Amino acid sequence: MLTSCEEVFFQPEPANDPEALFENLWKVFNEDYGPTTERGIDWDALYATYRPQVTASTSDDELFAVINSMLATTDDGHVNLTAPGRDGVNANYLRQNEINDSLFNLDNITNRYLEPGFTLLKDEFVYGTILGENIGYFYFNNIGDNFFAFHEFLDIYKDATGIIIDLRHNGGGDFTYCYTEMGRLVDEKRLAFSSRTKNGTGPDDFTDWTDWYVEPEGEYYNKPIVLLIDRFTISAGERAVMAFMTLPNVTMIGDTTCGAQATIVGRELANGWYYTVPIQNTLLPDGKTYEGVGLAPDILFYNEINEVRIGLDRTLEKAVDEF
Amino acid sequence: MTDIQISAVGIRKNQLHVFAFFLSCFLFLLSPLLSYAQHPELSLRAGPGFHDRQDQIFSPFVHHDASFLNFGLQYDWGKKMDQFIALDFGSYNPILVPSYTYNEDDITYPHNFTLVNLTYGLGKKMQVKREGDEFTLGGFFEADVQAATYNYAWIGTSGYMAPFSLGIWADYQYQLTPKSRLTGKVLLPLVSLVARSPYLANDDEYIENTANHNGFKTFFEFLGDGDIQTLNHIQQLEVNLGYQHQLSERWSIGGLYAFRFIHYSKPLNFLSYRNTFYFNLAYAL
Repeated sequence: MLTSCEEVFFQPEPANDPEALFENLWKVFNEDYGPTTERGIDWDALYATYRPQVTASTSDDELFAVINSMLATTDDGHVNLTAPGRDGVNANYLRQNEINDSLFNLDNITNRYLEPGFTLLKDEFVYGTILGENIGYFYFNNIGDNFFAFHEFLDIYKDATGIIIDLRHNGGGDFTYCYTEMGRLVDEKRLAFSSRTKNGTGPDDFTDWTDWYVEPEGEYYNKPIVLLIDRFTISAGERAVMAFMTLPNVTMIGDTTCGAQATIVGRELANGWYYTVPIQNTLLPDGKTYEGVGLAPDILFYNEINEVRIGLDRTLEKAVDEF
Repeated sequence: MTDIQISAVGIRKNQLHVFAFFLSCFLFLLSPLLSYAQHPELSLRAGPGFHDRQDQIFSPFVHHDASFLNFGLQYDWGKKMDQFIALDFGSYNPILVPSYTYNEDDITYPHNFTLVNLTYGLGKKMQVKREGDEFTLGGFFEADVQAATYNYAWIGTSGYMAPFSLGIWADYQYQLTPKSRLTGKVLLPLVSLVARSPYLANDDEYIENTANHNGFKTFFEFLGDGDIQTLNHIQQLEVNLGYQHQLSERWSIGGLYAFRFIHYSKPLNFLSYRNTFYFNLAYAL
């Protein structure tokens, strides 16, 4: 019984050679990648371009480069490739090349813009009072159970002029934490987005659409809200932005988000490399998809790198000016 | 849209009620036969195991691991009817290639499979010709909960496979000497409520089920989405072979080999088997 079952019952595994590795990865993207249409990708054409570049004698370095070149055509911030001893590669040009990555610096905010005594949980959140103002500030590093602190924040700033929610460089996580914890910000059920998931290998094999709402819960908080976003606001961070976009009292300032909004799954190759595959479509209440496009701010505003380097955050200052 | 999906979930939750009904009937019909314990026995077992698993929802590869984290606790009792309740636990951490470093200081982690089985069996002793031997036939209920976390470098995906089954079992105990015996037990699940990760693991329904952020509630949400399946879609088998030696009037020790097999074909192929070699210690209460 120890070994015979494997030979008899298990389905054949993909082989561990350069051609089989490429074939395995391409097949998964061809069958499971959700935003193919939104991002205008032709997987057959990509196969025709890149498959001939892989042969039985292709080295690991060459294979890594070929796969990354193919995946880079998606420009999808949710597509990553990881291999031993290398830096992980992201298919999104801005993220991979860290373009404008330095325009946000949390230390600048805690050093210059918050009253002493702010609350900080490393790699999770920072909240406090804007220096010299009656304005609450909350920075979320990701979307997760750090949103449980949001209730306390709203209680503290219930009499404030307004609040600033900073989702710049928000790396995503589980958007449902945001949706369940921001019920105090709505007075009626509001549709944030709809999504569907691949459920078969065919290009049109998707589940039915599911509508995601923010529903009222608790004491209504209707103060003005400024939401800060940037090109590194991604994934569940963007789904959090979608929820805030439904509120009439929100002004969004900053730069357009990454535009990688689909839920992802991980996958592995026979040689131990790992990669991620987005598997969903997403629609906003206007019936349009912003996958690959990003969510645009109401007020487009950039920090300047030379000002960031001397501790300034002009985007945050712009947000304060809104009150 | 969501309303349609909720209706579909409702249908599946009705199936849970059907399964609960069958389970209740099973217990109710046999309850008059229950009796107080005459020679109840409590046994503990632990030992190494080998697990092989291919779950096409998460990976096309067969994952293998060996682990010493296998424990079991069983209580046997009965007079007219033999009864047992057993709780088994196993944990495995397979990985395709050894953990490695990426991004200079990040490392990859193995997957994790946590396996919990709760089994209740009720059986009747049958007549055997050989003096000292015992043969029991009966029915059982088993909750087999398999939680998985597949780690793909910086991202992990959680999944589950949980058949709740009704089936038949047979146990034969062959007396070698007045103080030792060989045991063989076969359990064959026949009908199961199967809660299972969806196609591609992470769809909207899965996310809805986890959105309460309460593991207990989420477990029952998953269970409520399960489907009743019979042998055409799910095949399971458990075989236990053991040796037991009586040390004293109350204490006995022995070894037990346990084989568990599951194959399920929906929504994508799942196949798992486990070979566990337990050291067993029993105490007659």
